[in-house]
Amino acid sequence: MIPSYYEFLNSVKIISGFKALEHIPSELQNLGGKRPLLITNDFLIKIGLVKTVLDAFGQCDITIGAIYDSVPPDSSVKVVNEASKIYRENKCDSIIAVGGGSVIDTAKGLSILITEDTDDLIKFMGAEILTKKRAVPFIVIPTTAGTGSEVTLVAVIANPERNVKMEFVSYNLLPDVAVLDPRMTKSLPPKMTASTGMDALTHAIEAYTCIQKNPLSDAYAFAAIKIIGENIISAVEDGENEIVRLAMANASLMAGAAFSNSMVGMVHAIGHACGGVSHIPHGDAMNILLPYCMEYNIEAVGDLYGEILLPLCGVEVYASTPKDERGKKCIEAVRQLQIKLRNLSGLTLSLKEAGVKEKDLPNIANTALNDGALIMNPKEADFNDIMEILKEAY
Amino acid sequence: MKDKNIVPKSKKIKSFFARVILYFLGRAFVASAKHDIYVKKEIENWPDSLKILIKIQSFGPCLLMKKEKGTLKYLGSKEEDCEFAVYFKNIETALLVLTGRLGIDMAYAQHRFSMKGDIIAFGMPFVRCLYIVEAHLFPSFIAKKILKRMPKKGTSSFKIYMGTLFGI
Ligand SMILES: [Fe+2]
Repeated sequence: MIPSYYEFLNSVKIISGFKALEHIPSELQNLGGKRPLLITNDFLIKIGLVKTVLDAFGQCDITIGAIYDSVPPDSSVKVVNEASKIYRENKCDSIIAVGGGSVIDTAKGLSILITEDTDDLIKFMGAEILTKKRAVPFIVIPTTAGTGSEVTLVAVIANPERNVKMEFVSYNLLPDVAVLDPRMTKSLPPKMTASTGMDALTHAIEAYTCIQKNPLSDAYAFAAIKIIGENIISAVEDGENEIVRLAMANASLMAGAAFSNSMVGMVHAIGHACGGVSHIPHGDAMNILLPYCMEYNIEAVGDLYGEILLPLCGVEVYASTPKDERGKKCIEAVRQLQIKLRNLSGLTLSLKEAGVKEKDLPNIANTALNDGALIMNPKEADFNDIMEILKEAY
Repeated sequence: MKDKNIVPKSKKIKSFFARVILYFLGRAFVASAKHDIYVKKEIENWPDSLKILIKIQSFGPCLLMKKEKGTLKYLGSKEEDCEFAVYFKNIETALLVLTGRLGIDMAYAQHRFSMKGDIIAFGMPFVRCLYIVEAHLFPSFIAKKILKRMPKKGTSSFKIYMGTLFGI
């Protein structure tokens, strides 16, 4: 069904494949960058991934202006300001982010500071408020196959001083280039591969079933689910396999493009709250909550879960399942996939196991109510509904 | 070809209509913040003196409200720098929302407005308040169409109507 109205933008150039990193210098030159600031974290330096990126700049006309390697697991205004200081002190002219969601959010925050020529991010909070076109070339190299942040229009940056979780939603945050190179995700341990992969699956499933869905986001989501269905187990079993890693990186990116244009729903609203209150990793929260939220939403999504049974499980399963049972079968397939992943990698399947305290559940539910993603969910959910889901997932 | 600037015709009637609706919406918000326990609860955590603006781009009309002494105050159809603001991108789609033909969640999904400020602290509670105000103002056959689920009302709609019309 065609929505009565929708908008879609994915302006990011995608370069994907073997030796993709080596193409970055020429991409940067095309964008007019000569002295990039490289934003990353110390762990990625330690395991040698940043060196792999730096080596790709050999024999070319580009100088790395500086490296900012102090991005913590959750980005904050202090981090963005520090990065900004280093950017200016070293006369950098472009940004390269190497990392996961937090590194990429930091880079997006920095791009706002540079473009708006300001040192105060808080003024620019909101949705579609940034009107100035980004004034700095911006390249992203994701090191997990999950967040999809390399193609999304969102950044979340904490402001602990004012006790605000700052949200920025703007097409101007989309990077210029996203670089998918299998070397970047090869060293992800099996459990992380599994949970970040389930995060990507959640992006695709929510994008396909929430109220902002449109034909273009559907196409991205559908394709992402197919690749994840075909590759996630192999990626966990055989992390060294570069073809499988590249496939998962592509799926994650496509799921990101899908949800950048069809915002995620309650799995993320509740999952963000689990992260905020109980500090459990985002992928773990997604994985745990996904089937429970699907069960909650199934009556509101019509045939949509049934439709994605096809890319998730393949034509045999789809064809042999009667039409009106496909939705339920899809949820069952998600659960089966989780059990396989758990056996292979020790993926956590309950909130309790993930370290959430039972007394925190009401606080999580209250926090989830104020997450913007909840608006996009196909079915309304109040405090009691969310508590029910949390208790089931506990 | 004429060589002068072409200024598209203004939409005076629609703009006037929107101004009237925003006026009543503002008063309904104020009445709800006074009488409806759920709306009261939603705005409880907002800081005193918080200002909220709804504006239709590019030339208005607007709706400006302020939190004062635990309740809301209607400040008229003027634009001021606010902590939280909703900017409808054009008059046509603003009217769809204001006349109950498009829900606020679908309007957000369809990029019909932009939002300035803290979405978590102000945006989400504001949306839930709007759900309740709409449930009071619109006849239920309209409200059911634009709301995924009817919100709980914390007072009678009669009271909200009286408050909106007569300020009581
Ligand atoms: Fe996610």
